[in-house]
Amino acid sequence: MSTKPIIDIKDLWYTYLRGTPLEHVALRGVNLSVQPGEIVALVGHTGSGKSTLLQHLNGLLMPQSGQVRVAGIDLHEPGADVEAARRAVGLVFQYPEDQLFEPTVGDDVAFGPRNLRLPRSEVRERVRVALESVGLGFDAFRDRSTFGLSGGEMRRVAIAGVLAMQPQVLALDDPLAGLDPGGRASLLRLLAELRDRQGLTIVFVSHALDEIAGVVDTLHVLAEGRVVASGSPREIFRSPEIVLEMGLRLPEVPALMQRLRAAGFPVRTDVLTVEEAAEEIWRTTKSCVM
Amino acid sequence: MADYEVLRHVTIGQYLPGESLVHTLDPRSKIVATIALIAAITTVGYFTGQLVLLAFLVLLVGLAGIPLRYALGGLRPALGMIILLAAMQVLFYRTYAGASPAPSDASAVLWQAGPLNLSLPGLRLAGLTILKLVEMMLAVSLLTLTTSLTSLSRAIESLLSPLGRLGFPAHEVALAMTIALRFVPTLAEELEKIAKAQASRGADFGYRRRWSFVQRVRRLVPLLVPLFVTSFRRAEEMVVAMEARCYTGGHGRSSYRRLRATALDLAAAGFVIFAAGLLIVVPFPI
Amino acid sequence: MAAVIRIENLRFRYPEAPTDAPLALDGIDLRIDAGEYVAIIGHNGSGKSTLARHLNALLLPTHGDVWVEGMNTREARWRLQIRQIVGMVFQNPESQLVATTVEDDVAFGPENLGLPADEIEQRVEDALRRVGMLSLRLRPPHQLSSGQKQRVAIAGVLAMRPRCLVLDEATSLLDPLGREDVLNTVHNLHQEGITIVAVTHSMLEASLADRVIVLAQGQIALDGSPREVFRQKQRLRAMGLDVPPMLELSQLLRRRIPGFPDDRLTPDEMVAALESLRYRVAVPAAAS
Repeated sequence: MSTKPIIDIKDLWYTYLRGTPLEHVALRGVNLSVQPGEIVALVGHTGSGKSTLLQHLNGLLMPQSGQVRVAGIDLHEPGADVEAARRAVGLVFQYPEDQLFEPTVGDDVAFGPRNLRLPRSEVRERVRVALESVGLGFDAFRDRSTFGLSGGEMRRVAIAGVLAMQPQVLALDDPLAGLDPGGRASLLRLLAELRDRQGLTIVFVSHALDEIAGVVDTLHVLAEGRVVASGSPREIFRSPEIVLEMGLRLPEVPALMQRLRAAGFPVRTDVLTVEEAAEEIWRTTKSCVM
Repeated sequence: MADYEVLRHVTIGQYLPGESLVHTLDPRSKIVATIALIAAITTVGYFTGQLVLLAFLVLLVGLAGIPLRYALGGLRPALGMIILLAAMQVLFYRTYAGASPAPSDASAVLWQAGPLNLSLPGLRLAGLTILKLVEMMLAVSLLTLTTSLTSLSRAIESLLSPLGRLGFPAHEVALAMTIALRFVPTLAEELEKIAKAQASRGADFGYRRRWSFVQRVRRLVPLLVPLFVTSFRRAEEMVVAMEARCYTGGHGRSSYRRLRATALDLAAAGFVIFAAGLLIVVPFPI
Repeated sequence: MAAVIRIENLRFRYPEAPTDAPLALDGIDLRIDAGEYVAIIGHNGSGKSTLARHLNALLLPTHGDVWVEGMNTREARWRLQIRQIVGMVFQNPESQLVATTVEDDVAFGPENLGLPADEIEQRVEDALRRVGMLSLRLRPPHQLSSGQKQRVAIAGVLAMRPRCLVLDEATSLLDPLGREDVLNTVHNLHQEGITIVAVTHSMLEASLADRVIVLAQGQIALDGSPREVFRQKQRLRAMGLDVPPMLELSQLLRRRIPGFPDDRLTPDEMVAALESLRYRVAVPAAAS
């Protein structure tokens, strides 16, 4: 691949509360590279450093050691342009609907652009585009009360608030948390659309390995502050030893294929969907059934 | 650049377990002693007295096995404000009838330029103010760092219970305090998360001299509104959960643990009260 | 077998809702026997949480009746007893913990009952042991993971000695490990004989129950064993619900392989079914 990565992290270390009795090393030499337009998921147990890593992408946390280059900005250099990093990488926290504060949807989405001191017409335009891109009609939603929406709508408003900054990278911490299955599927489709239509690079933290496998280009598995495995979902499912060693569970379907293989069935294990599994099982058993 | 990890340095509500004498004293003694100390800190107007208090507090902090830097950590976010406050106190100090001590001779004034002046009494006042703030921080930190939240809330409930017989809603107040204490670290984490989220949208929580008071308050809205909304929602959920566990108010409730005060606890509290009283009453030279 | 919960013609509308709004619960008849493990599933707005809250008198019927061990929830004099018998754990781990340490929080319920301190001590220890949190008894809530918090919430309910535990989407906000810990705990409690009613939107969790009740628009649409219910894929899809992946796979394989079971729920069952297929086919070859 000859394109330069839009996110390039080398040997990143970070410790919380250094020098106090409550010191905690969160990142131990993380290496991560993301190409523009990729959809990337960071998976790992709670405490593996995923959220800490995300917060380095837009300069909320500064690297204590190592290199962090985001959209051409070197955050490890003294005097780094953190504000530019904030604009280049839009960070959406877990349960982002908890951060809404304006009485109307339009005003809340406008918070970001207004902080950039853009002229009013530009602010309005950005709000319109942002709301439309999360599937909420500008006219229908701009004057709605922020707190009178459904949970799923509120989350989309929060994401729109970040999109209104027009970032190149959208980083999300556990965007599917707390949503029911329908809501999760719908939000994943939205993320895929944002990449397909607007060319956004998407980086998100998730626990739901099974649901994201269809959407994600590359999975990075984190454990104890380090990236222990990287690859496409199929690659990871084909050789999941490291993942399993970390105590992470494979989704049901790939896990089944692993078990079948262990039981002597010559099936591929890099299967993502139920349909693929059915095809693969049929392929290997039809000779028996003939 | 604003430091979002600031709240992790807040030491109120944080408990550092230990085996020191200070740790094992009855929490009620500690609360009473802290109140006495705070009374002394606020009223004693003499340097000598304040230095005695400072020495005493530093000694206690050391006795409790707490790094001094950590106990003062809570002052870190306010450091700028404190220095500014002290500077303003010095520069705008005015002698007026009733100010204590009252210097009437001009030799106390070191420098003057228009409304600003630098005077010995002004410096003294500013110095005292800083001392008092540091001591307050130490006193309160000492209490919260050596006493678990449980012990604190039990102690408050116990101290307030005699008032319950007089019709004062002692149990309700104690429970409200317990719940508040329990949520301090949680709310601190949430505030940090909200601040980071708003900062990610370009919000600026730094300090600018040119902002008016109104502007500064307005900048807190994106921080406080979400916190309030979450807290109210959580309060509603808590009520339901408490009712599901048969909570119907203080009447008929029993208590899981009883505090037992020993002679040592009484003696320790007594000593501090006596010493504080002495410092308040005795006039020092400086 | 004794009925722990009996519901007759329950209809309910929230007091704040306008009088012409549809009923949140529209004619529920239900009987849950002691020792059952029941899962209640349904699309958002189907009324599942609303139904759960009628089980311990947090909500009272607009029409119809709910009896808990023979006591009618409308009668105020039974309310405390009902809430002791039917304990409830809610979705948000954070908002159920009131006290500053784990053991103090578990003691909250027994304290409300006015029990003597020694008895409370015993119940607290017992409850924490059953959820596997005894070693963390002195921890403050903010130092617990969400799965641990939820287990403490369960312990808080267990300390009231309930006969039935209602879980209102208690695993929705948990990470996979936390969810697993809570489900294991619930499984163990069921083995001890506690009746479990779990409201959930996870099909995998629902398949762990003995009985699945599907709610749609305030009414019971399906009621049966997980196998019976999930086999009806089309009806479930029409109600906006999905089926566990293994069941979906079963049905796909059934189309290709005549006689293959169309209702395997777990990976274990699927592996067993495929192995018996291999064995079944291998035998004729050996015989010829």
